Amino acid sequence: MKYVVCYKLVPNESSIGVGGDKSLDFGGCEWEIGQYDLRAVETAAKLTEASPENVLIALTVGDAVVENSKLKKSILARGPQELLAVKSEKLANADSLATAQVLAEAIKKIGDVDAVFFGEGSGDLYSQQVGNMTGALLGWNTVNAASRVEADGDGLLVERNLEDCTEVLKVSLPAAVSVTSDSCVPRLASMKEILKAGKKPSTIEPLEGYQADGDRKVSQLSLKVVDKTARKCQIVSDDEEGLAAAVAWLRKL
Amino acid sequence: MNKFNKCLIIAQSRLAALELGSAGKEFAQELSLVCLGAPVSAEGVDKVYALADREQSVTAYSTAIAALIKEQGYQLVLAEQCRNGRLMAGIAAAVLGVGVQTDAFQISAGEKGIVTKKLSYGGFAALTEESGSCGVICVGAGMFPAAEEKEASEPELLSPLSSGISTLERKEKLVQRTNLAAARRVVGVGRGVKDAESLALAEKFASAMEAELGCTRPVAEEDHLLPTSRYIGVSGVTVRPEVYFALGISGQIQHTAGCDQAGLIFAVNKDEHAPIFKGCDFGIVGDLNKLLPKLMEALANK
Ligand SMILES: Cc1cc2nc3c(=O)[nH]c(=O)nc-3n(C[C@H](O)[C@H](O)[C@H](O)COP(=O)(O)OP(=O)(O)OC[C@H]3O[C@@H](n4cnc5c(N)ncnc54)[C@H](O)[C@@H]3O)c2cc1C
Repeated sequence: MKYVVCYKLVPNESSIGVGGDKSLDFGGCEWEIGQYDLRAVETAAKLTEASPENVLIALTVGDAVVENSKLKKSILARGPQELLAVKSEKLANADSLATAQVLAEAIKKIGDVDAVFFGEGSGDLYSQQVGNMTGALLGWNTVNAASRVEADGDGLLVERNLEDCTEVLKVSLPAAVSVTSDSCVPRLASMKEILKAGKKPSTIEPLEGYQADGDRKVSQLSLKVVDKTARKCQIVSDDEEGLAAAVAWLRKL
Repeated sequence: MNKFNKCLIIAQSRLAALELGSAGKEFAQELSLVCLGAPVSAEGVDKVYALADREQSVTAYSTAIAALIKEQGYQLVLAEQCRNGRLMAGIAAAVLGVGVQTDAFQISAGEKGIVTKKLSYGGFAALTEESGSCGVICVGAGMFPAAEEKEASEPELLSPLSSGISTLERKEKLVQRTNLAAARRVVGVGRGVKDAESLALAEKFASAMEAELGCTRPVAEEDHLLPTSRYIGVSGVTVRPEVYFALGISGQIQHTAGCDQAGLIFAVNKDEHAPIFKGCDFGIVGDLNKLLPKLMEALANK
């Protein structure tokens, strides 16, 4: 089987800077793989490892951050054999459909893909839409809320965890599957795997060769930092004095 | 903005069908409704569609719903913000060539289209977006008043895929309703509460404080110590209590975005550098397993 797993590189929110007009400054940000995308990587890696004939390709789109070698190694150390990234400055601010259009085209270019996996939602915008849209654009069987995925003959056995029920589906291929955040516990990449990852092939393609334009389909009117409630921050230790202060504080409620 | 001509509502629950019915009336002239659950209709809805076989997973109806949207030329799709509704929103958006606006805490008519406001970057920022002349919006519970219910007379049936996705099993779940959103006091437990024993202690503290019990997302999803309906945060419940007690919670933004509107925050954490101490009114550094019994004992002896 040929599998693809999609992931997004997102800024760690505690490293985002604040501009004078409460705008967000991504200049000095630390970037990471979306927490929930790691579940998709783990799910796809497990399926891939079942047979030496299986292949897993990691796929992402974004701006120059997709070239960050530490992040490339970090994803490749978790199971994928190769990596494809589509790069454009525009993609830094892509919305869900703009992203899905590029992903769907890239998956078609890769060719003969049996299934593509997504996390439930990205760590930054968390619209939980890209997997659904990509599946729909490809015209594949599309399933979200997958809490368990197993290979089953020529298809996949998928358990879906919904608000009021769980269901077990037999999904034939090709398929697009978005997994839930509680579907599995992602592995930690070992030093050995990180070293091996450095030798795995990775390709960066410019968006210019694609039909997809990477432009937002929903207009962004504003993006502003949310003010947090100011608090007193009276902190005590757990000695007798601190305990007495805590009890006094609680008694006043 | 001018009202949209034709709007399709996609709802699973009865209440969502009614709430989206009144949202539809606000934004569009003509309303159709696809019921993913038991057929129902709302005042103002002109046409109702239902699933031919509700034993089949909703995922088997994507093709039928995509075809309906193409044929009927809807410009606006309003979907219930549940997992099946989100799936159908994505399918609809792919057909219409637009993005989906989701998780909005504010939805209103703008100059050109529908304006939504949502939290992003884990609750660090608020994102305001506007649809164009076509839009797909996922609408959360309680965003609009419920429209008057009507009987769904002879809904047109949509057929599932004949192959591709087959449903092998369906199990109903017990849904635990909570009063967290309206609670006057809330105790939130984080991963510092590691087992049933610590949880029992936190429960005892909550009852001494007359508080409802909530938790962080990993406590519900990874440790399965409490049901997912009890997790607080940007992707869970927003609480607005007079006092929030954060026990063994590190205080990452995704969680605190859901409790920032509390009047006062009291925190217990064994790590003096935990971010929660930068966002609380009173904090005590220590092991909750040792501290909670001491606090409860001292409070009991006046
Ligand atoms: C898209 C997205 C959405 C998310 N949405 C949410 C959300 O809605 N709600 C949410 O909660 N999270 C959400 N998260 C997860 C969030 O990022 C954090 O991972 C989570 O809130 C951390 O939970 P925690 O504080 O319980 O665990 P940890 O961060 O592991 O913290 C545990 C804390 O307990 C303390 N501790 C340990 N033992 C003891 C002890 N014996 N006594 C006292 N203290 C102790 C530790 O010092 C530590 O500070 C989301 C993440 C993503 C990517």
